[in-house]
Amino acid sequence: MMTTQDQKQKNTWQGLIAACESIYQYHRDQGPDWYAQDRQRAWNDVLSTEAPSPKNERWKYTNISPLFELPFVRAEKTGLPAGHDLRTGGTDGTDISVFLVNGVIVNIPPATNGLSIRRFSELSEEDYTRNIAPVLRPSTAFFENLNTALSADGLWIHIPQKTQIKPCIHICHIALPEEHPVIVSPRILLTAGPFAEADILMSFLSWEITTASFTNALTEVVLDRNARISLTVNQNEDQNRYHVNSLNVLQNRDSSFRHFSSVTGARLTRNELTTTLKEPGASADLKGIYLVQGEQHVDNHTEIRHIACRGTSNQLYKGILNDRGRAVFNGRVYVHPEAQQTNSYQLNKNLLMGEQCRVDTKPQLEIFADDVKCSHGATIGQLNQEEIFYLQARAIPKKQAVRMLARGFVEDIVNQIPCLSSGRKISETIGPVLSSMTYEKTPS
Amino acid sequence: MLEIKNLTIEVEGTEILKGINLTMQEGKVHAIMGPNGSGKSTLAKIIAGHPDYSATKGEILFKINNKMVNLLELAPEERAKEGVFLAFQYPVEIPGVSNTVFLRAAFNEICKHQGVEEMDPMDFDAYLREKMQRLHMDEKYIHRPVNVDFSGGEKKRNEILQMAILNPRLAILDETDSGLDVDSMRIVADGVNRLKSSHNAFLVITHYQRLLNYIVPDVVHILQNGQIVRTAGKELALEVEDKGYDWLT
Repeated sequence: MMTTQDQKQKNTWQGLIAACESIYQYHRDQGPDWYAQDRQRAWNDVLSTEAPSPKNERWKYTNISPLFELPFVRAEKTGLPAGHDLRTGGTDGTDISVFLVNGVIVNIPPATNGLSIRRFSELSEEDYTRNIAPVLRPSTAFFENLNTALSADGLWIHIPQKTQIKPCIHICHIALPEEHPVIVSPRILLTAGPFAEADILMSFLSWEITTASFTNALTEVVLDRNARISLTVNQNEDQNRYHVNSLNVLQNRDSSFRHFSSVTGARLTRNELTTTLKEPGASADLKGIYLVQGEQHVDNHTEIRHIACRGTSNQLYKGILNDRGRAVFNGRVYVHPEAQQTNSYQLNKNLLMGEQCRVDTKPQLEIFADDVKCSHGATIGQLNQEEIFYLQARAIPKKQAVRMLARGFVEDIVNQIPCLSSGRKISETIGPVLSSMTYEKTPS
Repeated sequence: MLEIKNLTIEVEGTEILKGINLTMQEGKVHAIMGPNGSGKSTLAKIIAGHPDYSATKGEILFKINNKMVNLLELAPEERAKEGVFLAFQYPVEIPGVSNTVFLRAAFNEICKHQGVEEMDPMDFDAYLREKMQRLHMDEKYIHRPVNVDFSGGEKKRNEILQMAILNPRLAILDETDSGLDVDSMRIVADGVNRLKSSHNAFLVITHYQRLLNYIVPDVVHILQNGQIVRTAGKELALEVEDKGYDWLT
């Protein structure tokens, strides 16, 4: 039976589809045929998929429906803002930087050291058949398909085999204010050949405070055997935005994927990270921090799929919540019957520092092999009184002690980011956020 | 410089300290000895301002600018700024905060309080390295998170390092010797002896007499069941070592 609320949701949902349809139509025939076909498949899937709602277990703790009520239009400001030079937002000015403004690629850095950075729209049918088709898998996820259907263009970064790329590759997403709410759909494909190595920093920044808008990013990563990639994501968009970041990783034999996610921005964030350890000996190291204040809501969904033997996955997510902030952590680990000798470790730690904040944390282990080591844990608590007293006993005022300890709580894993310049960038971003938080609830 | 008067502490209805009286002058070392559970650590913690303890009676008077001020009315950080230092029995680990950042923050708070210019990071680094050398501490401890992955002995040395950096007027060492081997104990004692002057005082809390061979006390107090049952010169420590505590009551 359909309730009034269901009817309302259905109506807003239809409103969203109608708004998106015109954006889809606009881009539909841009670029090569293969891309148009990909968009069309994705759009058909969007139309036939049920809208995410709290009735669905995957969306139980994150109400995304306010997003559906925004009257979206296509983004029109797609050039670098005046006063911006290509180094702004980079790590130290020496990076290989690609900028996307409101989801549209604005520059392609010159090729160096065999590194290939290209637009999807430039790829011939042959490029597609040889390089893209074998790795791009049709998605069943709503937001991924919505990204594909509405994307203006895609960005393909390829690190050739046995190549070590230095310095860090910086992918910088800049949100510019528009008159009306916009959907921004950046789409990235990152492929690393056998024994390739690179550090990547992906930033999501707002140039100014924007109108309520939606960043719906999709990044796909494919690691060939023995490839080693570190990907650091720095999401610091303004507080008017909704942000969904889908990150899909496919790992072949003995590859290593090291990921760090920092969320300080956006009103509502949903990170969807899936990594598939498809061949033996692959390792995934996933770390994340979230600093939540005001009315912010941050939801980290991770899914580690151990399909082959001798895989290792290590997850550590830490959050600090203030005011009326909310956080969700849902970490699913799946171990296939053939994935023997899997090592999987998962931990989610939260500091609750507001009277009205809330955390929902949910580990989900599905283990079908018998020779495995899997552990998980979650903590939700306050700062330790003994630690605060220790700092006070060294003349540090309580307020400052609380800040130092909160910073230490997250800095502890920021220090483990393998790429130094990315780590510095994260430290610079979280510093002012940590200083501005209220920390109203501390042990007396 | 310190006058504890009739200090009484109750925790959940039980008296832990039962009317402690203790007077210390500048330039003196006092030792407090006593069996487990006698209230030694409680006394150390309440002087430093630990939030778990509050006095039901009495006061802790401390000379600040030639006036006796009741420390119980000051926040822990205010006490530290006035020169009270507690070397913890169990130093706390602080992940994510490096030793140097922590020490410089503490040092600069005290500078600020005294109206002295703060030290810049370069100068502080040199100052820190010099103090560490004296305590035979490896340079790797400069950037390590505070006390994280330090051995028991290294943690205690780190406490003495903090004391050397902050140069307090009243230093309370709460069982600093526990968990130390003889060599480390000598180094720690040497750190204390170097700092001793006619302007400061030390309150050394210990189970055993052996530390007092290196840090020689002027006065020894025996604390038992929350009361000071005897006060005498350094020979009292030897007597206790020989006969235990039972004969005192």
